[in-house]
Amino acid sequence: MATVPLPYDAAIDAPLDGHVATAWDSGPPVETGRFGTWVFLASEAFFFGGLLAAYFVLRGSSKAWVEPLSFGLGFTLTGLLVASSVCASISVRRLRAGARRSGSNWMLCASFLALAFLGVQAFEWRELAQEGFTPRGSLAGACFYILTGAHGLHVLAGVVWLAGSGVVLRSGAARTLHAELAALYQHFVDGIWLVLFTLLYLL
Amino acid sequence: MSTGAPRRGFLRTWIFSVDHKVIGLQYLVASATMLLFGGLLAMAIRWQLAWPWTEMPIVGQLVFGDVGRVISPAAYTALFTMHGTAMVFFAVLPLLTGAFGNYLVPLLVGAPDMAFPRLNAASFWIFLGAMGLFLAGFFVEGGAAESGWTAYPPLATLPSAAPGSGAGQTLWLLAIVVLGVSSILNSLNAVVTVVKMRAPGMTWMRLPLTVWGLLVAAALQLAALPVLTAGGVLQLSDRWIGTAFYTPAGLLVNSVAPEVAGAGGSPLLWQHLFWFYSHPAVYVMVLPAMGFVSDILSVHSRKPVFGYKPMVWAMSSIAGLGLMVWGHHMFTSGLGFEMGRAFMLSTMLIALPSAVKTFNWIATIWGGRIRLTAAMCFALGFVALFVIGGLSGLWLAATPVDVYLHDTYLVVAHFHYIVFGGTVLAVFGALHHWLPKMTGRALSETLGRWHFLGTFVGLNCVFLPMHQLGIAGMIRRTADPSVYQLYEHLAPLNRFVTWSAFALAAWQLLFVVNVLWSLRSGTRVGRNPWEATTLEWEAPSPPGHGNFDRDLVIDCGPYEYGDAAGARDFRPQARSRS
Ligand code: HEM
Ligand SMILES: [Cu+2]
Repeated sequence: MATVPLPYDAAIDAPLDGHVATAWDSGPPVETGRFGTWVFLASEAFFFGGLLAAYFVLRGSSKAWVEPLSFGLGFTLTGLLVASSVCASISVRRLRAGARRSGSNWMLCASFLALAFLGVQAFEWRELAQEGFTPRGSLAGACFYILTGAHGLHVLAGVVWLAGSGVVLRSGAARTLHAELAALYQHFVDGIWLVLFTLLYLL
Repeated sequence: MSTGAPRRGFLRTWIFSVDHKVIGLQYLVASATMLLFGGLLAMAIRWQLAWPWTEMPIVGQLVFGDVGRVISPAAYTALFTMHGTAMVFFAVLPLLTGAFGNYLVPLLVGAPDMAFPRLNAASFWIFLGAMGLFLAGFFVEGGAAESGWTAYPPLATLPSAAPGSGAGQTLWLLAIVVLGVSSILNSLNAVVTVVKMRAPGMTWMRLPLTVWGLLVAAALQLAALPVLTAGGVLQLSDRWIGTAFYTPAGLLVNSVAPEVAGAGGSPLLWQHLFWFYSHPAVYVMVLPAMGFVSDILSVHSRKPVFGYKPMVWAMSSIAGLGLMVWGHHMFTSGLGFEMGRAFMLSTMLIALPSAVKTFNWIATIWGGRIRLTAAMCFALGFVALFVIGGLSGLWLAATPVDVYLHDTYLVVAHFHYIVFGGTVLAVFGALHHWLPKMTGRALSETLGRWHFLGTFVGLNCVFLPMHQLGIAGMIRRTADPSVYQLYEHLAPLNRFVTWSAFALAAWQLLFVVNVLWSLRSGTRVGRNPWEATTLEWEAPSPPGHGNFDRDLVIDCGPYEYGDAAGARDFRPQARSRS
């Protein structure tokens, strides 16, 4: 009954020289970075899921639920974000076709549209606050600002990411993958917005 | 092996490293420190419960010098809040997923590092930031948070609710949200590493159960943790912006209506969001430990794990069911009959996969050539105490029983049997099993077995009587049981528990001595001190940068033991060294 660990034996245990293990590639045939981004976005979906669950619970149990939102502004916001997403897609297509410079331009364009989204949203928030629709005023207000605020921060991250990959593409350093992941993220943020838009502005 | 790589300075090697092993060790040191710290808080809690409002010797002067050396009711509340939080969020979870997760996952799947090494380092530094925020709570006006590790509103959301509901609570919340970000990055890394970086031939059904445990735990984290983060964001908003997500209409705090404009929110909403994460979190705290124990039992009894595939299925179904049972923490919160019944059934279902695992562990060691190493002792201890904790869980899952037992010491006994008796013992076992790999030196087996014996006895002396306290009706989170006449006869038992707790804590010094001794002068061990099969034992001890000094090809499962053909009774997973 050997109950103590075996001691060191130089003949077996000494490190071998000169070998360095390589990184293998197993699992689904996609790049590690892309797979990681999928996992990350799945987790993000649960984050918004949590916020939305809170929204449903509170809205469902509340008698007076007033959201004095302007459909026109909501529509503009949606248009900007969808356009940003489309630009990012076009950029990826251009890049795959080997057109680096035009790919970069479309990327910057996508970033700019997302930035415009944030501008319009800031404007909308100010208008609403002036009308008395504030986070402290009502639960509907609290939900509106937290949901759009959390989403807005994600858009902000998108602005930086898209612009970043647009600039790096120009310097010629980045692989297409980075741009593709930025675009993927932007589609995700866009998708979340479509859900929010439906819930807050349409229903 | 780093033979070819240039030597790096201390800072680059040990502090700002992106090597998964160094990050694992950093997590190990940080979370072991928090384990010690949380343990000390528990001693103060036990002091108060045994001798309420008496002056504390020695430490009293230091810590409570300005309040007459006694623990105030507010301080007591802060103590158990910080104890629970330190243990769950900053000790046990990071020990498993941060320390062992980082150290073992790449080694066991045959990868040179995690999939995203820099992200991995970032997750550790974010973790340290969260730890700083958490500890800062002790130093702010009003003291540390006072709403329990569960942070129920309105106690947690309204700054006027208690002294610690001010800055201390805000720091607590921030710490939890920041910690959540760190854990999500860490879990993401673990999942991607297992999926994308297994060595050739390392198929899913050849993964050691340790990897399965860590993988399933990481997946659970990815799904459930963001929900807690969302809930935390809402609570921060209630505190900072003054929204009323969790503040009901018509609430009075200390007979004053709190200053919240649009009240009408729901305190129960927090309970749902919190337990949607924190019930799965208790499985995150046990699944990796189950993995370690399966591996240790198999190696040290020289037998394959009995029913490998059922083990994998059991872990996965525990995780899946674990996402659907959070309501069992809310039986007395006004869930309603139908919901209560549904949660009762789903909770009881979890006993099935848990039992499958337990019987498989017993069948694993059955008839084995058991080597009673310290690691093995701790693994056996895990199995024994997990059974007790699991069974008391079943009592609590029965709604009518829980209505009586909820928030009594029986609940405290239940989860300490699983988390301390189970997980912490498994961690000690895992340390005895894997520290030689991490440091290249053996621990003392004699000291280790004595440490086990005292810990096992001590922990039963501490937590077994708590069942009785709970059944007698003693509520948890009370600073002074002696004010209730009906608990009077429990005072001697409470003092017994406290004496046992002191002894148990002191006994842990043996382990500290053992580790320090081993680091200085433990016998040097080779690659495979336990004659084990899995890949980490192919690498030198400790493994160099990049882990493996030869290319691996895996051609069998992880538990090929006992076929006593020839000199060896085991067959390594990697094709043998030529
Ligand atoms: C067989 C499986 C289990 C069952 C059926 C079960 C059942 C329960 C129930 C019904 C409660 C609520 C008691 C109450 O508050 O009145 C509870 C509490 C708790 N359980 Fe378990 N449990 C199981 C396994 C675990 C595991 C594996 C862990 C940890 C690793 C754990 C940790 C906890 C904790 C920490 C609490 C107390 C939470 C609090 O502070 O209120 N349980 N358990
Ligand atoms: Cu639970």
